Amino acid sequence: MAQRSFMAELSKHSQDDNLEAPPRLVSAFKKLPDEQIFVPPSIDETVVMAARRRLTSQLLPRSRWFRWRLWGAATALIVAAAILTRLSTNRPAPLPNQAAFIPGDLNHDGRVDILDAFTLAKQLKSGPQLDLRLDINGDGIVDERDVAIIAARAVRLEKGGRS
Amino acid sequence: MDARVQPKDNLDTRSDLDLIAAINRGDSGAFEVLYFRYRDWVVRLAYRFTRDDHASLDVLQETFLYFLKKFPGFRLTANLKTFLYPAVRNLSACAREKSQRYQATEIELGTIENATAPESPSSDLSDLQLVLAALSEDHREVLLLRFIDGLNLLEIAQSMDIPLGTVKSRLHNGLQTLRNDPRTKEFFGR
Repeated sequence: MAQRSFMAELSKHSQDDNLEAPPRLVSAFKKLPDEQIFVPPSIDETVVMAARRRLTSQLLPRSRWFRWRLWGAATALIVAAAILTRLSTNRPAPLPNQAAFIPGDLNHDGRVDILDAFTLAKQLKSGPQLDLRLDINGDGIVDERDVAIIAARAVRLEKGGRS
Repeated sequence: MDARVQPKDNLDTRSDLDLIAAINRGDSGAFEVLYFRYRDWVVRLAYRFTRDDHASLDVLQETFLYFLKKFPGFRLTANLKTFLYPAVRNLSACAREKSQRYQATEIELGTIENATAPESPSSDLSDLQLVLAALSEDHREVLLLRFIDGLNLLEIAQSMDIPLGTVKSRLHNGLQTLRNDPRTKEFFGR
């Protein structure tokens, strides 16, 4: 069995060797006269023009699609920019010279303490107060009751920690 | 030559693969390069099959129009000749059939048998040509594809759509004929 396969392999290799042509023969093949067929320009033109028509027409739909895609992307960008701008302009900006007012913080030191109660009491002595931000209890009048609330709040805050 | 159409092959060194890629992108100039690169080979091959100038030109045109329809999307997986060869062969067979039908209406039936036969070798032909002419078309074609067109055995098998073993067998038998013929055995001498 082994000898048979060996012989088959040997036969195959020897057959492959027989597929090579000697250099002289290959040279003779190369020297065989070519059939010189004159190709008229009309044939060349027919083929070339067909190629230009077909390949150009294949290109145009792609470029048109590309242009639409580009326009679409540009439009989307513009719309997105407009939305972002609108959103940013809708956010109310803090008014100039308008600090955040803490109810009861009359002296604007950022906390409500007994000093604020003294300040309101002093302002009440000079006359009625019309700034309704000082109407701590919400009854529409700024009076001693609002002073009492500020004082009570100040004491509570001092007991419980700083505001 | 029409000023609009000029052979471009000699100036373009791109590989067939690069040209195919360019054609798939819509570059008609790349197709022109490929056309002029293979035009003469295709028309000579067509003449080998048809033995007729006009028919071989028709086959040339039809072959490249057929090739053009493969784009976009054509993928080159081997030597371009392996793709073009069967197209040329089949179109040449059609051209021969048309020629036979035409001749049957114009000439006596007795001449049809000679119309498709290879040309009778003349005394001007070399010994090699004479021996080749005596081979069967299948054997002769394998030898020509191998030693003139430069295709390897696998490419010949793909082109002719035959098994590789059949290519080897025909090549072996063809060479054996040349080796044994007194007119060509000198090529095998040392």
